Amino acid sequence: MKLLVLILSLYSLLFAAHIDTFAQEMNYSRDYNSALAQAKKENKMLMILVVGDYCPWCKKFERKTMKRKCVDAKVKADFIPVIIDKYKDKGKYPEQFYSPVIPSVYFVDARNEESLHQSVAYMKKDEFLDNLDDALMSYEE
Amino acid sequence: MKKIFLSLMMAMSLFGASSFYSLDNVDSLSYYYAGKNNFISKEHAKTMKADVTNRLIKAGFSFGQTDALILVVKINAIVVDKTQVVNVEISLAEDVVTNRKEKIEAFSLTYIDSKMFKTQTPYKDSMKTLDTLIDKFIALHKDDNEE
Repeated sequence: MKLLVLILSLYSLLFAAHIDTFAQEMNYSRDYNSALAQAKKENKMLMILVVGDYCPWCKKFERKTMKRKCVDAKVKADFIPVIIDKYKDKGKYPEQFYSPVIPSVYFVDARNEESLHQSVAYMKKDEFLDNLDDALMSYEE
Repeated sequence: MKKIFLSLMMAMSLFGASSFYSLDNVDSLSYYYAGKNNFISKEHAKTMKADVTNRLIKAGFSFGQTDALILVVKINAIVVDKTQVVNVEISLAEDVVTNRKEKIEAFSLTYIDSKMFKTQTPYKDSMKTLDTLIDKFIALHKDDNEE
């Protein structure tokens, strides 16, 4: 049974889209609703990272900013992260987060699904860390 | 398709001078010049190579190592109504392992930047443009490799 699970996992990894590989590697949710439920349960903000598989800036943002240890640690401590493909996941997440520009990050109050803060476009780690602080401040207010 | 293109263009304008290419761990380079024009002689090409490599060495790159990444400098020009239309391009070429089935290896361009302009003084303006492109390359390299 274990062997079967291992083979299936390897198989899914082999054919997984880039976004799925990122989600698995970084422990981000791929499902908006389950991430929202978890955020409500843990009383944390939901962080929605909206990207596209054709978007080179998104890949750079994931690789150069989101994967940084200091950024990841802060994200995991204070937010429930979910990564969404802008086009392929359409219909699986609310329309108010259909961002015209990607990468976009929405910081959402899980209680009412209201976006309290948004960061748009590629940014370096320091700038994004400031955005995380701003999002938390909005939540605490 | 239009929407994707529009989003990409909007994103490009938002990011300004930055680039989505990554120059992480690009240390060792090998210079290669290719051009189709009537204003860069062999002597000019030698001077240009010396200028570019010296600037890059000062910025921390090394030259002459085995399996270095290829820095391609391309200057092409055509004459339109007695005016030269010049395209100056720099790119980086290297062996990469792709995500295709069986992880196919390919010789690929992993950085490209160019500028096209019309001019009456093609050599002078080409060197100025090349300088700008090299500046951007050095700045991005610094940016990508900072902690």
